[in-house]
Formats: sequence, C-alpha cells, structure tokens
Amino acid sequence: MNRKLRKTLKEIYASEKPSEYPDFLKEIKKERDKKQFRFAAPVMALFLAAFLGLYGYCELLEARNHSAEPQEETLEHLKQATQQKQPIAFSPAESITTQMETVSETSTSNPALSAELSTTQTTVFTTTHTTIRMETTVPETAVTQIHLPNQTVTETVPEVFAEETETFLPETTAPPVPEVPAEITAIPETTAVLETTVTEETQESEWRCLDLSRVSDVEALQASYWELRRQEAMNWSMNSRVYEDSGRQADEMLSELTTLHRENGNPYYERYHSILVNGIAPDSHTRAYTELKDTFMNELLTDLENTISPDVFQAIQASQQDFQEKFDTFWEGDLQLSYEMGSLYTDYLEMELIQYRVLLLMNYFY
Amino acid sequence: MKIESEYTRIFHYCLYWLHHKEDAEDMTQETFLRYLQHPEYESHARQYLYTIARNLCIDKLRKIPPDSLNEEITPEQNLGIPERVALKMAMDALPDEDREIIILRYVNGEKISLIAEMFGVSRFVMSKRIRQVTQKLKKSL
Repeated sequence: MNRKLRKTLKEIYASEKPSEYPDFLKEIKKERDKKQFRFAAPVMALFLAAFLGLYGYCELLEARNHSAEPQEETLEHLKQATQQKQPIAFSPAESITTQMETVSETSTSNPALSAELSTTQTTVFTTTHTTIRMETTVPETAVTQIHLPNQTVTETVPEVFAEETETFLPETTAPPVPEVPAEITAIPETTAVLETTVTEETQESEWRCLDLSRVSDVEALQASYWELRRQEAMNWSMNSRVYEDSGRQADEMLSELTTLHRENGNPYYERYHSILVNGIAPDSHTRAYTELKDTFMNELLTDLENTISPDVFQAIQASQQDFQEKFDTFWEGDLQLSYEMGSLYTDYLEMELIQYRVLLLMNYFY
Repeated sequence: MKIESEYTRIFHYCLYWLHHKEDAEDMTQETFLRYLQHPEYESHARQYLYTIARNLCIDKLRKIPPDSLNEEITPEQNLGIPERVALKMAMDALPDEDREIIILRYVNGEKISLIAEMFGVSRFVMSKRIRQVTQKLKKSL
C-alpha cells in the first residue's frame, strides 16, 4: 500500500481526535502503580539481601582458598619452620621427596621412636578424570636432621605431615600421572595407594568434544551466510546489482553448507530438503505447508531433547532464542522496506530463515 | 507502557467500530478502566487493550438499532476528494475482518506480530493475508 493511500486511510479513519486523556484514568493508573511498587519493593530488597549474602560468602570462600594454597618449600624455609615448630605445607612433588628424607633420617637416628607413635599423611592429585591418592605413615614425633653447609640443626617436629595438600591440575587429553620416586619402595613405613576414578563428567566432556569438533567451521560459515542474507534484504529496494551479488554469494554459501551437512550424514536433512523443495513449488504456499514445517520442527526438537545430553539441549534452546530475537528484529525492521516489492520475496525469505534455524539446530546435534 | 500514548489508538479503533465519536470515547474509557483493573495484562498491554475494546464495541453494537449504523459522508468530504470516497467505498466492500486488519496495520500502524496474535495466526499467514487484502483494495480502486 503506497503512502498516499495510507494517508487517505488515516484521514478517513483517524481524523477525529479524542478529547483529553481523562483525569480519573490518570488517578487510577497512579494508584495501581503505587500498589505495584508496594509489592515490588520488599521483593527487590529481599533479592538484594540474598545477592549480597551470597557475594560475601563467595568472597569468604575465595579468601580461604588463597590462604590454603601450598607454598614453595626451600631448605631455608624448612629450617625456619622447624625452628618455630609450625606445621609445614608441601607442594605435591616436594612433599613426596621431603617426606622420604624425613622418615629415613628418623629411622637412622632413633629407630625405636617410629614404632611408638605414627601419623598418616595423605597427598591427593586430582584431575578431571583421575584421582590419585597417596598415603604415607610416619612417626608423629620425629627428629629431623638437616645438614647445612656450616651447621647442623636438630629439632623435634610435631605434626609435620598433618596437613592435606590438594592440587587441581589443568585438564588434558591424557590424565597426568605423577612419577612415584624410587625411594618409596625402600621405606618399610610408607605405603602408596593409587586410585583411578572415572567421574560422571567424562560423559559430558565427550559430548562437548563431539560438538566442538564439528560445529566451529559450520557455525562461522552460517554466521557469514546470515549476514549476506541480511544485506541481500537491505539491498532489495536500493541497488539491483548489489542485491544480485549478495544473493548469489549467499546461494553459493548455502550450497556449501548443504554439502557439509550431507557429509556429516545428517538423517534429518533429506526429510527437510524434501519439505523445502515441495514448499518452493509455486502452488504450495498454503497453510498445510506451514503446518508441515512446524510439525517437522517440533519433531526435531522432541527427538533432540530425548537423544542428547541436557547441556547440549540447553545450548540449542539458547541459540533458538537468539535466532528468534534476530528473526523478530528482521521481520519488523528490514522486511518492512521490501514488503511492498512483491509477495514472492517474503515467502522466499521466510523459508530461508526457517532453513537457517534448522541448520543451526543440526549443528549442535552433529 | 504509557497509557496516554495508547489512548488515541484505541479511540480510533473504537471509532472504526462504532462510527460515533461520543460512543467511541465512552468505549475507550471503559476499555482503559477494565485494563487498569488487571495488572497481569501488563506484559501484552496493547494486545489486551485491542481485545477489550473490540469486545466492548461488539457488545455496544448489539444494543444499537441497525439503521443508525450507516455512516454518512459529509458534503465537505465528498466535494473535491473523489479518491477518498472511492477508498471508503472499497473499504466498506471488504469483509469485516479484512477491514479491521487494514485499520490496525495502516491506520494505527500496528506490528504484524501483534495483529497475528490478535487473530490467532502466524505472522507468515498474517502478512500474506494483508498483502491479499491490499491487492484487493487496489483493484477495486
């Protein structure tokens, strides 16, 4: 409908002006807003308090973690600690060797003491896939002799190995297993226990690997594809040559995408393709066709929900929401420009957008 | 949503239904009164305003004798503006629903999504329908 007709229509149907917005409605509105505020204020205050409480708790936890971090031990540090009779924190690698030294010194200087009292030190190495637990039995009160270049220090060390050390190593493809020193087998009081635990997270990480290995290229390609289609729509009523260029590029890219999905052996693709081909036929712009597409989309979503892990499905839903926002913006914005240029274009664009959505979903599935 | 800004839209919508300024104003006020009693309508305010207005106008029309519904074109409008008359006649020839869609879309400037929701169809269907109606309108002109 052209501008002139619209103007005439407005003159016919909207020439009458209403009298001023009535005061009593204003009053009612004010009262209602006040009531809503009265209800909303305590709720907001409650949320704020909860947020602040949570934030404070997190800060406290973080501060504790910082204080519990293992510090690098040197010979000098060890000396100082033993003089002050304080418990010593070890890093995992050092704890094994240092511990062996201490026990062997004990057994040579005062063998009887090790049989009386003993304590167990546990060192835990944790990765995403594996937990390695090392337990060492040592005398609770041991005599440590440390040989320095110019002097010999002899001190009694209580509860030297009471503190448990935990270290989280970065995730790698093969779980790193720290080397057990050869001395460990030579000490009779020491036993080493290795445990390998397959956590539940392994399954999820496999899903993620599966997605990431295939999605990145396709996703980048589709982002470009979307941009081209957007440009195409914007150029519709401006410059026919530019429009043709962007349209051709987009068509080429779509063909590339199609090939990618076929190579991935996507079972939904063939069915969708047949719906699309039938839908493009000149006499097929009917409600039945729209319903067919909707049914297909619903079935696809149901299948996805029942088949894949909840994490991946949530990712799909998020992308679907993102798509819907783009779709809404596009439909109410750029499309209005091309709206009067012909019905075919709207139908064509609608199908392209649906196809984009399906391809986007399939990306996450394969 | 600012209710003051919606007032004129709803008034024009009521006027389209009732063809009577005072009645349209009454119905507009009644629409807003009912809307303000239901804070839960806030999320889809405009859609609910239209729905309330339409229902109120339909109720009102049922009470008005059919003879008084014929809108007369004033001599001022008739003189010198033949296009307007032709358009008015073409609009009158449209089915009620089609005419309502045109008013909402081109007089009140509502989004296709909102009209589609009001009529319970998809945007795809609504946009096709609007195209068909405008083509029909152009042909009759």
